[in-house]
Amino acid sequence: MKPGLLAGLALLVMAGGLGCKRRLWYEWRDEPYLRKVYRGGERKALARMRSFWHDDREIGARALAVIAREARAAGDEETARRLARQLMDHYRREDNYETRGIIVALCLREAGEGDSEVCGFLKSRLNSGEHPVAAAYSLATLRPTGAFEAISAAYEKTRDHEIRYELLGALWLLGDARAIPLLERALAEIDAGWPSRVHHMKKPLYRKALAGRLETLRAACAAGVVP
Amino acid sequence: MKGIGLILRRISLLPLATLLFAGCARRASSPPGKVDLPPVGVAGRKSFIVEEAKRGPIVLIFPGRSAPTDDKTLGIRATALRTSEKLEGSVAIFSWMRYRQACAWVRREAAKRRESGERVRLALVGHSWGGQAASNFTKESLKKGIVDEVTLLVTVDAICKGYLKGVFYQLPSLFTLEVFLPHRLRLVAFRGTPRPDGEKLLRHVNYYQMDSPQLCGTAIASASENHEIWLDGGREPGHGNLDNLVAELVAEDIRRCFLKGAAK
Repeated sequence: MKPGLLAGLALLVMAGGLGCKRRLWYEWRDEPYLRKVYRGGERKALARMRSFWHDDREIGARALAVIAREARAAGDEETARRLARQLMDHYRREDNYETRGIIVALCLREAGEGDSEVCGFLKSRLNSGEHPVAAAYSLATLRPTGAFEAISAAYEKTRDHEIRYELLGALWLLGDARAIPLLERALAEIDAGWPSRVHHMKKPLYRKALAGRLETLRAACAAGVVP
Repeated sequence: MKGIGLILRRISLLPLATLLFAGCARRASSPPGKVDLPPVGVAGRKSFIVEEAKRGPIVLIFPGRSAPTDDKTLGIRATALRTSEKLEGSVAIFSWMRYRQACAWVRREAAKRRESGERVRLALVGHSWGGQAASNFTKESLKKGIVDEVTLLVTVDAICKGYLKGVFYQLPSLFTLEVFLPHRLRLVAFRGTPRPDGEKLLRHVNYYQMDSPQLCGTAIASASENHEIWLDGGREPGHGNLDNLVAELVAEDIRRCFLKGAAK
């Protein structure tokens, strides 16, 4: 092999390993990076949330959410609420759409259990149509009063089938029997009114997924056990 | 001819590299022997038995490649804890490197249920490399009669032995492939997945994402349900975060499949 080629290859590997930082690593943004920030505590998480890079801010927000969840689990409700409020404030300041989406989809879900302020915030995100899917799944996980009404209203309002499909998924997660007719209607309408693909899924694939959801929701409702 | 010879010589280096790196990843099946199980409720680096019971379903969870089971930020750990809250039964997480321990634990839990004449029902969850372990465990536990049925198999962005086979084989993480194959690498080779038959394996739910840098999953044709994860604007959470996003969904999948009268 020519020395020039070898040197080029070595430079490429070095660039990948050192210079190009985490975007070339598949665990970029993932748990190995999150772990260190979480261990550093609230101060380190907040410092990350002030970073110039949006992926760093996302790591900071996720670590803060886990700290809030653990605080709540340890009975420190006050800290958990304070951190959840910081996450909502950060959402308002954040200019990156994706990072805002992660705050709604993951952080507030983890930090906001039993927190009415967080649930109100999520409902407002659902109604505004800014992050309806992320907000719907978080609401379905936290299960505040009125979650079904909020998600089903968003479902009826939107014409976007990709969002409608996800909102049906959130209604399944919520486990409310009133979602059964909505799922039945969607399945009946698939052939006539739904696009050939939802996300990357072809019609037979997403139809099968929806039918599976309907089946397990019916079983759960018949057993009379709500989540 | 000279050029072809040169190409052949270059190609011949590949099996060598393959052999070199294949040893980095441990095999799922190991020889039998005495296995020490960790105490219940104590999270270790590679295993965490969340709870045990004498009756009820058994839930076995395999996290991704190197994910430590005592990491509180780990989504699959959240799945285990949520499942434990929702279900009366035995729940544990074992790294795929602790496959033998997992097997011994399921045997122990199965023996308790058999003593009381109860049918042994198992739910398996695998994220990333754990998907391969969960898939193998499904086949092995049914073949050896360790359990009576696998009620549910859940795979989350599953990767299996054989992806990029012949190129890197089970290469764990040397610059994690992306330096050489930048950006998107679709995990299309989830081979040998057991097919639900309505008797032994009742249901297979697969969660995946399609457009995430740099690893992502795919729909599995034999699965009962394939769910592509999609956030507003087509955003995906990334391979290592997908387990966090689906934690509640998976816990509900497990809870609902064990309900009385749950459809097969």
